[in-house]
Amino acid sequence: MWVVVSQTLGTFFSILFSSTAVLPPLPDSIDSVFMASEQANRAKSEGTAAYSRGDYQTATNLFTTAVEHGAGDKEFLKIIHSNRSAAYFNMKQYEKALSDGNKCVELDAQWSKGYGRKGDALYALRRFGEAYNAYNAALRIAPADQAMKEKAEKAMAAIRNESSSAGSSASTSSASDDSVVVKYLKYATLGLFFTYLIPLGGMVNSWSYRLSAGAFAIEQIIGVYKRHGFPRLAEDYAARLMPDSALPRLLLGFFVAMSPRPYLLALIPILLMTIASFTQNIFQVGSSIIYVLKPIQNAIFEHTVWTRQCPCHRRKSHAHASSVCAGCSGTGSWS
Amino acid sequence: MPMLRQYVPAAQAQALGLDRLNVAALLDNRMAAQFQVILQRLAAQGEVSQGIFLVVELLLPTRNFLQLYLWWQYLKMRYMQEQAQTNAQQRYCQQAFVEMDRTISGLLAHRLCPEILRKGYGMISAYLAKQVVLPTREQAEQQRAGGAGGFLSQAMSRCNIM
Repeated sequence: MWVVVSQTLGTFFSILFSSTAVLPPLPDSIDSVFMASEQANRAKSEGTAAYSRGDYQTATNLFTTAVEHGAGDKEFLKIIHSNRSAAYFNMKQYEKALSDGNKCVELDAQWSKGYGRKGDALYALRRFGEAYNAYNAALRIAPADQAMKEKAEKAMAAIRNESSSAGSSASTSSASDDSVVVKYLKYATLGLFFTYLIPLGGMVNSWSYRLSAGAFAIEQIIGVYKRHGFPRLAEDYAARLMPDSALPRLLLGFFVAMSPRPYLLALIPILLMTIASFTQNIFQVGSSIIYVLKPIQNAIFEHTVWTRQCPCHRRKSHAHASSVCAGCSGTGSWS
Repeated sequence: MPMLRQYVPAAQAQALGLDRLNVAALLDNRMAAQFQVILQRLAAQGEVSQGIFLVVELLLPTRNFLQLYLWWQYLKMRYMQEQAQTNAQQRYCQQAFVEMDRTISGLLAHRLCPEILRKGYGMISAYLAKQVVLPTREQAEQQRAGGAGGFLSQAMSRCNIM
């Protein structure tokens, strides 16, 4: 018994004395370690005031001071970095805004605002995929954030837009956002193709053929000018031009227009590509017709008896549009 | 909408939110995309057919060498541009070439077709395939070491027009 007591006491004392040796010396003020100093807090409040004034340069300088004085306090630092990111964002220094956003995420991976800042900077840098991921990370933490949801949707739309314009920019662009000149060139391409089909005599036919292809070529030239600017003899211009699908189209139009005699088969690709650029308009007209015809369609439907096998396999119901199967009363399962 | 209601039991439709879903708009977008794909595919088939026709036309009095050369340059450029396309569905020109090759090979496989035609077609298709092979990275490195431009300029020199 005494042995146990003395052993326990010995262990207790050894822990007591050794632990005092292991622990670091206490600082004279706890604030300097666990909380930002007075100076840092002052810099923060002044910086916030400058930010709300719109003086972003001063705000970033003050926030930088606050970061220097507030080392160690994660809660304080993440807010400062977030604020500085916003200030940089407003100064259009997106790289710096991004690095501050990254810092926020590093300091607190469970803070949705940090991801939001990062996403904003990435979106401004046109890195839409990463921006979408950042917004999504924020939404995983705070799923009810409506503004964040909208931002994520915007990023997704940008991704879609970019991928479609990278692939075949000329074919996917709808005719509705074309300029008047381009629109009339498209009409000319279509109209002259049909003029070419009508046998009106050699000259009329060959000239409508040429002009149809020529209008297509000019339309492509306008598209290239709009997207890449005036042609330059520079490698970066060539690098941007080479993947553009308008370039082979331009050559197609040019070659067809230059051919010594008309080929119907050569003009058909031009016709189809022009029709493809009117897809949106065609479907808009189509859906508006459907909208007008909808009541009529419904009326016809209501008077039609649809025969089908119900999923319950009980009976072949001659079901009316609004009625349900008499065998299973619409549940579709055995009863 | 009423048709959909026919096939989905009412209670389930309500649970899935199908009664509020704008099916017409959904179908519209999907159909528009499909429509564009069909048109692009037909256009590519037309281009390749015209290329073949210009070759066949060499036997006719209306033969035209310049048009033939320019047209095949255009096809080459289109084909090489599509090699950068990540979506295999949108490689319309390549698909058209594959289909055309299948058709011609099927015709040449007939027992009455002379051997020489088969051989000639094999040689021509091998030559055409060689025309659109992009230089490998090693070749591009060699080219750069030789001081005659990089990968891009070589690719450009391969799909030149004149």
